Amino acid sequence: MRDIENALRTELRDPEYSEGYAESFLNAYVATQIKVIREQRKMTQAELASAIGTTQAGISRIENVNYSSWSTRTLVKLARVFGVRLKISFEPFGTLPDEVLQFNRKALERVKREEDPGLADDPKISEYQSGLAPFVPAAGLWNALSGGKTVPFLVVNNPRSEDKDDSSEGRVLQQLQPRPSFHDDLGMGGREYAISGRY
Amino acid sequence: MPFELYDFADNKGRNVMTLWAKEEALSKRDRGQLNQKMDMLQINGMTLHPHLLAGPINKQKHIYKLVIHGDRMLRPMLCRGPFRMDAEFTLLLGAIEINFKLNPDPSAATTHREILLGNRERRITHERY
Repeated sequence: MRDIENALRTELRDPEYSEGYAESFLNAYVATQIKVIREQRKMTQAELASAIGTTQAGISRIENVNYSSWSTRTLVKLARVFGVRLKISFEPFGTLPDEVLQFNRKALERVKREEDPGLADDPKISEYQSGLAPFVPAAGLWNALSGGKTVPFLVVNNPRSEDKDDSSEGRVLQQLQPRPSFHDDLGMGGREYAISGRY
Repeated sequence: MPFELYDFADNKGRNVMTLWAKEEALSKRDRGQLNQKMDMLQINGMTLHPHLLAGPINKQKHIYKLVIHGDRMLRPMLCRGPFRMDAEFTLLLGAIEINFKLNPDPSAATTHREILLGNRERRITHERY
């Protein structure tokens, strides 16, 4: 695994290579997360298709890692059915190696609104919001919140109370710190790198 | 649990996959897409990612193809194992699909697999493209 990380940090310095890699990763991420959350909700492709007004073949198509023609409108429909929100975020290339290495089923799962610890009126949630997330048994949620561990495209469902704003684009994006440009991206320079923005 | 990846070696011990990538002069973009799929396969295997591998290919019952929609339709062919079926994959043959036809013919991948089953030395640790 360390071999992959080291190779990527060098390879991703090339713009053309990094675009090919990142776009392929994005397609794989979207397709796999839809499948993982559908299975987490114990839904068949046919049931999900019925819920968003499409066909089972349409769901099968969008769950293909090689598919890249999904629309934001369709993804929003899926988010509603899954009881999560859709988040779209631009990211520097240097965060990609970590995201690749942490890509697994648990990290892709998301709790639905009714079970969302971030929305519960419970003392444990305060600890969770103040940075003790590892004690919350929701690894995927923690990955989304832990800073620098997100992916270019995420479906998450954990708005934090202090992140509120009135924009229609959601609460989190405005909290992000400025991203380094491609050539300033410290994540590809072999040095320590972390996003300071909160998710 | 990460998987181990291997590449088939020709009778001179050369990596047939990296030779193929060099002969085909794959673009940087294609190499990026190819390595991304290989990384997914190595990290999570073939079950998490829907449609990462297609196959087994018709008439080649142990052979799968990796699907890459890049500048060209790259279809490197591989098999599970063949020695530790749940822990490793072996890349057997580089191929490109043109007009729904694989070039070279996938039967060559089966041949490579059979050679490997008879001689474990005919593969080397996977090298990135």
